[in-house]
Amino acid sequence: MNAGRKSILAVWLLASASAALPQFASAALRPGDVRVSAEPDSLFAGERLHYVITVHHDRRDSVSVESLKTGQDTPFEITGTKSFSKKLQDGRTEFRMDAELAVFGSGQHQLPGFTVISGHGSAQGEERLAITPAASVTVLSMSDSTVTELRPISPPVSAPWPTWLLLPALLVLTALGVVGYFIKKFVTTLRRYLDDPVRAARQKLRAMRRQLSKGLQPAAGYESLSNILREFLQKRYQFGAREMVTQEIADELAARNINIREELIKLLDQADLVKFADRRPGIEDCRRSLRIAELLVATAAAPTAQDEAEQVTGELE
Amino acid sequence: MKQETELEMLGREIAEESAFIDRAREVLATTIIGQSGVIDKVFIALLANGHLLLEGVPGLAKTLIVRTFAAAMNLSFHRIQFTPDMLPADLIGTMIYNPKTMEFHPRKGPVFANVILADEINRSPAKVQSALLEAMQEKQVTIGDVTYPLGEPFMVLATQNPVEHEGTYMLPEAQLDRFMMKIMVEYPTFEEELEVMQRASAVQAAVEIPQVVQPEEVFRARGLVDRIYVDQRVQRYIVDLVTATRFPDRYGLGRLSTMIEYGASPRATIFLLLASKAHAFLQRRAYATPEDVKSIVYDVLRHRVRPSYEAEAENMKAEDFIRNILEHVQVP
Repeated sequence: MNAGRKSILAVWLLASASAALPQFASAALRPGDVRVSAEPDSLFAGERLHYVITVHHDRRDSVSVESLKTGQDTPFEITGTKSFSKKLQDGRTEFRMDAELAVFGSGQHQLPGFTVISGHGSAQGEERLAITPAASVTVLSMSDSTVTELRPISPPVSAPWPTWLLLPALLVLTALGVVGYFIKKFVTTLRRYLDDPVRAARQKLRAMRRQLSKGLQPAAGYESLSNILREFLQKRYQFGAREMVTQEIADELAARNINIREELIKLLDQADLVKFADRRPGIEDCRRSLRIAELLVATAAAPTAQDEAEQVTGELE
Repeated sequence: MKQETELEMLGREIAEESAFIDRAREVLATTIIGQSGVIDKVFIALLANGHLLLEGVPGLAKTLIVRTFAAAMNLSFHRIQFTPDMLPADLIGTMIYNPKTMEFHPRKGPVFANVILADEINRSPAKVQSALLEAMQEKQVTIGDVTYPLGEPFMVLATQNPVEHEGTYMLPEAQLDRFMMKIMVEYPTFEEELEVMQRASAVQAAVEIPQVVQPEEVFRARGLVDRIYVDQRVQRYIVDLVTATRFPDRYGLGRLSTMIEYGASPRATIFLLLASKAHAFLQRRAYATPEDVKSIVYDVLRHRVRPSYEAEAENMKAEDFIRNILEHVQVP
């Protein structure tokens, strides 16, 4: 090999070596190597945002992310981070940091910026690359009226029945209510009529008169008379006359100042004599007592001062 | 009409023969202020041949009533103070050995009298109580081998103090049942107590109680009481009242079923009838009415109806049950 050829070979080797050198030195980090993503793109205040930062870098470099702009004066707050790296098929390495951010405030907010720090070995020191993502996230306040715009509520469901039926239905219900009211009033009046002690006593006394005409024994008649009068007193004046002896009834009527008490007690005393002293009265005695009883019941039918007072009290209430 | 005449005649007899009641009441009124209800019940017990249990705090003239009553009725009277160390022999008597004759002789106890006041009967043990209650039931006492009939009339009025139960022996129910009535002796009214005070303030000798009644009058009155007419309706009412204490649910008183441990015995039915007739006699009637029954029903039933634990927890007493029963059982 001559000297000319040797010099050409040396130049070629130097040139080849110089061309091969950049392949062994680390490459500088570019903004295109850094990607960010965030999910979801809109969320309510207080919800969590999944913020992912990916950096592709030379496998000989070490990469970290710092100065994520969160905390005070920002709508973001870090609630958790984790980062890891993996080798890519092209020989480079992917650094990934998953951050969970709590978001606050309302409106559209740009995703938080950060700084990627790349270490190129001990000789060349660190390289810092500040990233400001262009993407943004929409934060919805719970009290924000724009919520309806961002998340529209479903349209109102139309009624399953024709709306024009509403009025007739209301009219029918009103009519039923009115009819019910009158039925209740009628039943109350009927019940009052049937429970009326004066009416019941008169009816029973009339029945007793008929039985006397058909041969009812006067003694049995007096017993019936006593029972009818006791039942009448119990219902008319609301006290347990059926469980009271004649003297107790007399005391009760006196305490209530009932005007018919004297004649009434005389009748009950006569009935007691028939019932307990085995007296045998005549049929005329019994008829006379029956007439007196009818008169007493008729007299008691008129409202007493106490009845009127109770009625007034009831009306006032 | 025959029955009516008989009753009218009986009514006239009762009016005549009951005069001794007024005389005795006059005498009692000179010594006793108030307590007319207790005095009435003592007369009823005498006429119906029954015994009384008086319950009341000390100082309510229980002893005075009985003593005066016995004196006015010309009846022998013994007061026996029951104590824990008492023996049956102290009550009914015992056989005493006579060294001169070398024989045993009976010595009759204080139970041999017409009217016995058994003061604080619950202070003595059961065997002494039993001795007295046996005498009440059998109207006779056996000392040694000899049986001695008790005098007629024979009436025991026992007293109990409701406030001091310490060191007492409560009367068993079976023995309580032998008393025709249990009378609650209440405090006198204000006016009555005023009169008691005014009379007691005068220091004077004990008043001599005149004997205004003869025992024969009592026996004749008892005969009339036996003849007093009690209609079937009244009899059924009496049985209804007693049955209601045993089976309250049959009378619409289901709530009382758990409140009453046990109800009144058939003896209560008998005493209720007898006492009603005696009450009718005091009213000078030849027939008994439901009013007579109601007048004495509390006294006859209160010691025969035992409240259950549930009732005691609710502070319900026998009187409450009787009142409920009276309010639910229809009067004939």
